[in-house]
Amino acid sequence: MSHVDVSAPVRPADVPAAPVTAEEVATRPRRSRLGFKPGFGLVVGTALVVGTLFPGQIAPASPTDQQLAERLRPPAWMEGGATGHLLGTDSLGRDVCSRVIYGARTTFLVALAASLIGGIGGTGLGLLAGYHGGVLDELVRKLVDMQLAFPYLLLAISALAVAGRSLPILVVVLALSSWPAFARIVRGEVLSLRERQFIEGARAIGCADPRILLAHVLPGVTASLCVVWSFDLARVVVLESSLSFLGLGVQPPTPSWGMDLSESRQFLQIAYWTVLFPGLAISVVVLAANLVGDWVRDVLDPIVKRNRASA
Amino acid sequence: MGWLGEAARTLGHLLVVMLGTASLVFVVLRLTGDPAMMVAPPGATLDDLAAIRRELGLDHSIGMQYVEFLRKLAVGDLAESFRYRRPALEIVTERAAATVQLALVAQLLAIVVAIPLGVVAAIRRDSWLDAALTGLATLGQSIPHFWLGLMAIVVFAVQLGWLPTSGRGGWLHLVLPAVTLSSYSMASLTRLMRSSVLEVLGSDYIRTARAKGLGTGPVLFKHALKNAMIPVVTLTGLQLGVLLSGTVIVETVFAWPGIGRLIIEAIHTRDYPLVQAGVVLMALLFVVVNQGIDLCYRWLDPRVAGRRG
Repeated sequence: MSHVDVSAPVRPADVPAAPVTAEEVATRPRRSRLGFKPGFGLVVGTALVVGTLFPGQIAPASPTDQQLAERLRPPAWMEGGATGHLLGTDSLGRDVCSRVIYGARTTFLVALAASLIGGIGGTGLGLLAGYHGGVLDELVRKLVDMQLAFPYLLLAISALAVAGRSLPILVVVLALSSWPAFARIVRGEVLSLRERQFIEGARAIGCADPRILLAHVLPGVTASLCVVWSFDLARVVVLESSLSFLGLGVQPPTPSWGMDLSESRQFLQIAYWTVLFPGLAISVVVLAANLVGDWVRDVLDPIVKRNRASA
Repeated sequence: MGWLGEAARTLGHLLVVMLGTASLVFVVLRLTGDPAMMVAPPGATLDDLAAIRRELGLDHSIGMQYVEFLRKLAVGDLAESFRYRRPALEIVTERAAATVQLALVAQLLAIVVAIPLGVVAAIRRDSWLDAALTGLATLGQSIPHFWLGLMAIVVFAVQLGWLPTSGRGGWLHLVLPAVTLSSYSMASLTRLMRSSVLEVLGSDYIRTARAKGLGTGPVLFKHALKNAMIPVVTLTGLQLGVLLSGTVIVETVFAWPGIGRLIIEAIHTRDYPLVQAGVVLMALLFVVVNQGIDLCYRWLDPRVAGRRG
């Protein structure tokens, strides 16, 4: 990433530095400070990983422990709140804070797995379709168009109705929503890449197609893949929580932000905190993924543009 | 290609999509289980079940049912709902009106708010206003509909008591669902409009217009906006399609009697005709909207028509 250095002041090492005025300091470009977008992403990402790996160490209570006497207690700082339950309790007397922390694992793992599976599948199909063209290309394009035309929720509901509701199936159903974006972008990039000289060269010295695709074409599309992937991760998190909200995703008692929202909905008018905090968690994670996507795109933009321009 | 050929092509596309969707939903539905079990009263015997299947036309082979389904579909007959014992199309059309109303109002709201905001952000590029608008838009893209809706209910219906919590009635009932539904489109449109205007303002013909002494206002309104609108129109079309099929979440949150909830309920009760009618109608709306957008697109960018013809 050569242009990262552009922001750093350029001065040969042996030239003595001139006295620096206060004004110069104020207007000087700041050096290698972590920007807001990746910084926010890093903080949220770290929190997610910690929440996924060690929920028991940070959560104040068990996420499934029901204390019916303590049900619907408001957060600790409000009137009637208990110090033991920082963010209050839900309708079954479970600690909201603990459920939010444990919910991170479900959301993170499901979304990660789904967008990885969808991403790998879509990238593979996009590579093949763009590189080989012909019937395969037609087929992939038709599949993408068909999937985009078919109401996804109907597909998801039917699949979950037929195959039963379990985490692996939920992951597959979510992955099914991910692949078209990857396939489209990758196909488009490969179309221009395959005419480039270095690919022609690889072919000329007798590289087999799989090797050309994996060793020469794939590195050329990674920039775009990073962008698509971070936005897709955000999308899948929303989708997973939406399905769980409709009662189609994660099943109780597994803690899941979307499902917690859906279960607490009926108590919305008397205990809004049971809905506020899980939703806040979803929004923060999605925002972080979107910001990272924005940032990656900004950073990679010259590279992506150059690839397209040479088509 | 003349307009006749063009019309034939459009009609062909419409038929293919409709046939594909109808067939897909027919097959997928029949994988979900036996509807007779849902219709039968508790304690029904095997004979009762067989009788119900015969009555619902489910005793024939799948192939025959499919041929029958297509034959009826061709004349616009989508059979009777298993549950309501009324023509499925009638039920679906009633509910679709509510969904279309919600989606149209939401999309209109998104356009009316997003376009000026996007233009302002682009003109005041890198100012605090731009940063605020872009930040707000990113936030709008990140907050899920169902949570935004529920929080809006807490604030505006429960705490302040300004608006009804749910259901369909007067215009006041429409406010919360429409604003909630429009949030994502509004945010994406604002960002797209901003980058689109920025791109157009950087192009050669705008520089020419400026060079001949035209002020910022005329340059913007006479030259830049029409071209900057092209990607926005495309996105609007895509969004409207998504909105129509994506209202189900907002319909669930606000108990809005739309087609999305109807289809979900019908899937759970295995009401085949109702689901089929719902999906076919949605697909029709989707295709018609996209064709309409295509027309707008040609008006904005005559090069498109030239390229196709």
